[in-house]
Parts: sequence; structure tokens; C-alpha cells
Amino acid sequence: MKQERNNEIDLLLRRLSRPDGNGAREQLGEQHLDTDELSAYAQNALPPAARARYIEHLAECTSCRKLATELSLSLGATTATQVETVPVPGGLKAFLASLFSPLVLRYAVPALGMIVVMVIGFAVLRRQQHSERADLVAQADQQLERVNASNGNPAAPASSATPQVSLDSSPENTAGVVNHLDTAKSAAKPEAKPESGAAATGIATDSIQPVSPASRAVSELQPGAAAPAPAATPATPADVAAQKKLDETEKKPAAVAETVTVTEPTTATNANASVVKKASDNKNENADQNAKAKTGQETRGFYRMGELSGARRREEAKREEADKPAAEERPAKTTKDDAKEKDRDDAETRSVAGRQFRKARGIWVDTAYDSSTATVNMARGSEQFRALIADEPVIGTIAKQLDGEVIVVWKGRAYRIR
Amino acid sequence: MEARSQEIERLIKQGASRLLARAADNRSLSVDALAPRVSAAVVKYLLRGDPSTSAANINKFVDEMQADDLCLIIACESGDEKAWNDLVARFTATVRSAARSASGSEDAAADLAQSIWAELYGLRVREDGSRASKLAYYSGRGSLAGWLRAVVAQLSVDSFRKQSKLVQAEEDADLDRLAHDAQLSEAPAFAASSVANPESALTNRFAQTGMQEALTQAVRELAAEDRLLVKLYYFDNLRLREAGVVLGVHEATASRRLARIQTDLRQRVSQILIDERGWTKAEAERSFAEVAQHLETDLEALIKEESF
Repeated sequence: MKQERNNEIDLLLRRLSRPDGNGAREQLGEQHLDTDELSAYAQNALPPAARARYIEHLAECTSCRKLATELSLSLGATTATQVETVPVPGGLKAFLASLFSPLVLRYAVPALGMIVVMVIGFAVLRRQQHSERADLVAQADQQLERVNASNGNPAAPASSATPQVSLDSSPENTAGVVNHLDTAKSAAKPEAKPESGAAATGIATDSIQPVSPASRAVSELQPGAAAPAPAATPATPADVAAQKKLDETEKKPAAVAETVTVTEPTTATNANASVVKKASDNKNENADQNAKAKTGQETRGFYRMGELSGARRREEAKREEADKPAAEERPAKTTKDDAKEKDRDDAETRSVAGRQFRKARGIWVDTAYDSSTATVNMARGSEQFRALIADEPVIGTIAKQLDGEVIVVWKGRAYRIR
Repeated sequence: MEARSQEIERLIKQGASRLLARAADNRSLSVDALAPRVSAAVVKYLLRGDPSTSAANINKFVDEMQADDLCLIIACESGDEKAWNDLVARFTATVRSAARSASGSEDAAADLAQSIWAELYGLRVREDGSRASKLAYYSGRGSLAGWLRAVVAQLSVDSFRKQSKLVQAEEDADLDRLAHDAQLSEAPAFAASSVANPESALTNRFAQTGMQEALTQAVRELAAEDRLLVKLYYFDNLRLREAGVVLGVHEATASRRLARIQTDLRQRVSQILIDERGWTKAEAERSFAEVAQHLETDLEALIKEESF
């Protein structure tokens, strides 16, 4: 509607401009602009008040307007304030502007979106794996309980500490839980000798240490952790029988563990702890055996968690190995690229007629150029260009030596030559 | 008042001193040689429009002057032979190029360039013995090259007028205008008015006349810069890019400004028709559409005529 309305007024104005239109009769006879005024107007070199005065005259005086038009077109003057500026890369502002350039918005934003989706997907996958692991641990615990129940082990309540495992399956916590289990075991052995118990505890703690310092901290914090462990006593026939039973029972939970995840011949499940404890309940237990069992528990506790993801870890290791050569090559490539980039930078800075030019976005830009400088646009070969190089031959030399678009700063004004 | 004059004089002397310091080659000129020219430029372009302008404005004005060009011209005027040789060497190409643009032939361009140099040198001698040179009119506000082009253009127009060619052309234009007006008075106002209904044609003519007068008034009431744009675009048939160059704005700015002017003019014409001529709003709206339609037909007919 607005366009239509403007079309109507456009037609009326065209009619008005025709020789028979009233608008053609202009007020003449006023004092015309002199040469200097015309020149200063065309070069836009007038103070605002003077410029306004001359505009008033030009709007009414056809002959001065024609001269001013001719001069303006030949000089191509533009105002410094409303000048079309060329974005030259450099500075924080330019960097921020480049972040929102159409090219970046077109490619980088979707790429960023994809990366975000991938990260979220990865996190979700990891969480699922964690919960799977926790389920597996819970299953293992259930197996342990079942074994305990089938053996009629009174130390079963000690395993009640294990639910923590299902909540957090990290190696540290697992070790802590294992310690907890030991504490319960120790508590179930009132006849244990302090010296050997302390030694056994020391061994157990030492065996935990390499696995995780956190586990030791947990064991230290546990009040029962300092309780004397079963004493080491000479082997008796009952011990042998107990050992046999231990061997038998050791195999069973190990098998359970195998069904859960990975086969580890030297490890046994937490069920062993109960079995060992049960054996020691009947007789005086061998401290070394107990310590060994404990060590096994600690190690098993760690391995169990590790084993669950062992296959994946191996895959990752393989992948890492495969990536290694590529990663090693990458820095070399980057160095090459940097060198190329550097070469290009060097090649894209030229000095012509004592002026430095830098190529930016395919345009040779005078290093003295500032985006606030008044810029005159002109095409090579145009009348305006010929006039300029007639006045300033150096600009002609520069335009000749630099192909394509050039921005030259000359006498406080920038010339954009296409 | 006296204090103000003294302050201005002081500012001008200081400005002249800065100009000399800024010039790459000050031609060994003194502040006193430069100050009168600087003062004339300040009065002409600054103080005439704003007599109470600030000292900062005066300093800014002087600091924007072309130091080298002004020194060169003043040195030429004072009879510095080297300066004159430099002027000729530096600007021969400029004057030739400008003369070529203003002349129809190479010979005419050479003649014009020759006369320009003569004018610049000053063949006439004043009563005080100094030469009456055109160089005296250079203020140093714009570049010397631009000023020389303006001199060439002005002299070209003057010589054209002297040869009565322009006068003849204006007379021809007037004759054309008279002939066209005569045709209009005999023929119907619009091509479309040849329709069977004479009442309608009369109404349209009346509407067009009223609207044209209102539009003329509205154009006259426009701000000077807007009026100049209308004149450049509609009357001088410049393109928007060219009109933008004359106004010192980008083409896009000129385009936006023109669209705004059209909207303003339409509103103002409606207002004039309603307030001053007693039209109703509906009449004004209808007349806009009808007149525009007829004008379109009229312009199409005109274009057809011109193409044959």
C-alpha cells in the first residue's frame, strides 16, 4: 500500500518536473556560487552552516546545481560520517563481528550444535553404562548373599554394608566398602590376637594403598578398622579342612564373577571374604591366609570395577594406539600449515610507492587505512579514476602494481579502487 | 566586539603558524603572508554562517585546510618562480583532463587548458601593479586539484555563454516549452481524457491542477536538502547513486531519503487539499489514484512518442 502511495506521488513529481510543470520555474537571479564554493561543496569540505546555505541555493539554482553535480561526480566526494566503510579484519571488534559473519553462522553454528548433541549423547551413554555396572555389582552382591545364606554364615549381616557398592561403583569407594567388610569380619572374630591382627591389618592396608589412597583413608576413619584381625596360628587338620572348603567355595563365587564380566584367575569375589571368615570362625585362622584373602578382596574390589569395563578399555587402548600415529603426525602438519600461513601473510603484505598494503578479504588495504576515514569509491578506467591519477600519479602507480581492489589513503582521504 | 576581533585574529595567526608547520614545503612563507588568506576563508565559510562560533571551531576549520596547496598558491601569487613551475608540473595533467571532460574535442580542450593557465597566471595587471590572477580565489578549504577542476568547469560554462550557444539552447528550450503548453491548451489534459465522458475529463483535469499546485507548494516547503534531492532526481534526471554523490551520502541513504520524502509529500499534499482547498479525505484519496492512473497513461504515451 505504501509503495503504491509512493508510486502515485512519484508520477506526480515526474509530471511536475516536465517543462510545463510548475516546478520547472525556478528562482534565478540570485548570486551564484563562486569557483571556490563549488569546489569546496563538491569536495564536502564545508562547515555545516555554509554547506546548508549552499544546499539551499543549489535546490533552486539549476546552473549552479549542474556545475556542482558535474564536479561532485568527477571528484566523487562522500561524507566522512555516512561513508561506506570496508570491514578490515583486526581488533576485538572485528573479531567479534567475524564471529557473527554469515559464513560462521552458516557453518560453525550447526557444527557447534552437532558437537553439543554428541557430548550430550556421550554423557547419556556413560550414565547408562554406570547404571549397568551398578546393576552388575548389585547382582554380584546378591550372589554373595545367596552364598552366605546357603552356607549359613552368621556374618551375613556384615554384607549389609555392601549396598553402598551399588550406589557408587568407583574403585575408591569399592575399596572402602571392602574395608568395611573387613571391619565387620574382624568384629566377628573376638578371639583374634592383637599383634598378629595388627600385622594383618597392616598388610591389608598396605595392599590397598597402591590401589587407592582413598581406601586407606576410609579404613582409618572406620572405628572398627583398628580392631584386631584374626591371629595367625599354626596349621591344624581343621585348618586343612577349612582350606579345602575355602578352595571349593572360592571357585564358586569366582565362577559367578566370571559370568558377570571377565575371567581373572587370581581374583575372587567378595563372597570369599565371608567364606574365609566362616572358616576362621570354626578354627584359628592362618593370618597369612587371611591377609592374603583380604589383599585379594581389595584387589578384587578394584578389579571387579575395572574388569566390568575391561573390554571397553582394551578397545579404547586399541583406538588410542591407532590414533597415536595420526596424533603424532598432526603437530607436524600444523607446523607446516603455520609455516604456509606465515608465508602467505608475508606474501600478502606489499610495499608500493613507500606505502604498506595488506591483503584482507581479497582487497589490498593501506595499513594507514582507518574505517572512519572518508572513502571515495571508483572503478579503474572511470573518468573519476583518470581524474584522480592525473592529480595524484602515485595513486595510479599503486593501482597499477596492485591487482584487484585497492584501498589507498591519500592526503587524509581513502580511495577504494575497484 | 573589539575583544572578539582580537581573539579571532589571534586564533587565525596561531592557525596560520600551525599550517606552516604542517606543510611539507612551506615555501619559506611567513605567518603574515598566510594569515590574510586564512582569515578570508574563516570569514567566508565559518563566521558568515555563525558569527559567534567557538574558538575550537575556528581552530578545527584552520587545521582542516590544505596546508601544502595553500602555501604553493600563495608562493605563486608572490612571484615565486619555482612555485609556479611546481604548480604547472603538478597540475598540467589535472587541467588537461578537466578540460577534456568539458570540451567536445581535443583542440577545444587544448584551447581551454591554455586559457585556464593564462587566467591562473593573471594576464591583467591591477592598478597596484599586481596581476589579477584567479589564484586569489583559492581558499585552501578543498584540494587544489578539485579547485582547478571547478575553475575549468566554470570557465568552460562562461566561454560557452560567451559564444551564445547556451543562450540559444535556453531559447530553444523556451520555444519547446511554449509549443508544448500550446498543445496542452488545445489538446485534452491527458491521453486518457479522450474518453467519451467529457465531465469525467474535466473533473480529472481539475483534480490534476489542484493536486499539481498542492504538490508544488509541498515541494517548496521541503527542507533544502530534501528539495535538492527531489530536484536532482526528478528534474535533473540523475540516478540515485549520482544524486547521493552530490548530496554527499551513499546511494542507499539517498534511496531511503527519497522514499521518506515521497511519503511526506503525499501526506502534505492531502493536508493542503483538505485544509486549504476544502476537499474531503475520500476525494483526496480517490483523486490521487485517478490522477496517478492518468499520469501513467500520459507518461506512457509520452515515452511512445519519444521513441518514434
